[in-house]
Amino acid sequence: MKMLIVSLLGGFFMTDAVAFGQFMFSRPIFAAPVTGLVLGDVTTGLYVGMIMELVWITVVPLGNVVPPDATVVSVSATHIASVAGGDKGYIVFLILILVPLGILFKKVDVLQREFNAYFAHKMEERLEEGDISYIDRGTYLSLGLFFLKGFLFLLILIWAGTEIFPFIYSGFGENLQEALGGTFFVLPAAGLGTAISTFMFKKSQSKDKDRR
Amino acid sequence: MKTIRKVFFRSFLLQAVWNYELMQGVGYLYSILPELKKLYGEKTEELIAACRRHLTYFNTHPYMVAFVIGTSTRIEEEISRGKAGAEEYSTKIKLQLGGPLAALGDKIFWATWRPLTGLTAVFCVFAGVRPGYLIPLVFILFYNIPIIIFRWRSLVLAYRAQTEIADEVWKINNSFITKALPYFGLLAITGCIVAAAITWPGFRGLQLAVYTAIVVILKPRLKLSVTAMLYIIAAISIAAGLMI
Repeated sequence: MKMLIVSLLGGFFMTDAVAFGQFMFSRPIFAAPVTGLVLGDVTTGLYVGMIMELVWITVVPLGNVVPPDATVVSVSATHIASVAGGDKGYIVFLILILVPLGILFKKVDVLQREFNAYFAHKMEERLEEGDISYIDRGTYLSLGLFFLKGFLFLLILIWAGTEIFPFIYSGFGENLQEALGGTFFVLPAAGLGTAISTFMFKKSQSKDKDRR
Repeated sequence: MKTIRKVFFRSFLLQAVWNYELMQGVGYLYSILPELKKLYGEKTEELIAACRRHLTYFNTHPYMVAFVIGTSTRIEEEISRGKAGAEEYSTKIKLQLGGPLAALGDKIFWATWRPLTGLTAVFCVFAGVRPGYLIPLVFILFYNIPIIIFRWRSLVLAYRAQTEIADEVWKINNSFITKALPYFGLLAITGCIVAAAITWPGFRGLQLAVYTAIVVILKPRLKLSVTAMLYIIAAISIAAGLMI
């Protein structure tokens, strides 16, 4: 049940990134702790949000660029970690394993953006026939599709993740788990260091590969 | 005023049908539809002609679109009054304004306001601000209040007069806030590390500073993305943890 609520909420946060409003509900520092709040574990949400926000703070969605999806990683990592008790090593493990899935989601997003041309063409056809009602309908259909895509992706990811990841993590042995726990305290360095080099050398910003 | 309000709320869906052919073109038409209906009347030939005219390629920064809407709507008003030859200008102005406004918006909002507010919120997590749920809630308000005021004000301004628009945007672009960002950013990052040194157990803060220094040194030389740096940091730290 909670899985469903979190996926619905996460799906809404994810439409904010492109399709609706850009009110920054999709930013990790908002999406992750609010997910945590729903699950009664704000702290785990704040930890995930902090690391993810730092990783993506210097990524700018320029023009027609599709930025990597930080929301899907933030929401799913917060959910999977907090139902397991919010262990720091587990949080690190989840972030490392979920970031590639965030990139996968980005590819799915590109597919929808290609498909969306269908709505535009249909709108053109309807206008030629003198019907303007499809302007509204097509817009809402596309918005619904954006939402549905995020919701379903999250639901599957959270459901599968809650089943599979604890099993893998428990097989790691104490030493590796402790090493992952220690990594939690240095993981923000990736984002902090990138932000420093962005602010100090403005030129390096345009070369950042994540912007492509 | 009622139409402006409608257009304002509809402009939040500017990118709902984002696609590689028209980009925000559909969203733009969706946004201005109430205005077009008001000018040409429901179900008229002129309305359909205007809709077809506006269903073209369009792209700008989503927060900046109000400037374009206001300006192009005033041209539509002239068309509805029967001014000849204005049709072409009405769509041309969208492209002429869209590009430069997108560049400005990227600089002011994506590259300045967003990292600035994000870093402040992250600093609050490092500093252990309690209760924790206040951090995301205050962040979202703090970020959005100026943005929503800006979006509304720019729409109303653009409806009224053309010349003031350029001044307004220019003022923001040259304001203290865009110039101060690098200094504020460095200050917030230092704050994060100092807060970690105070609140985290043992030498965790020092450790974070060392790893941050590694990223600052390595990243420009390796020319890697921030995601790649995440994995490099994790690999070094896990390896170190396993050896000890």
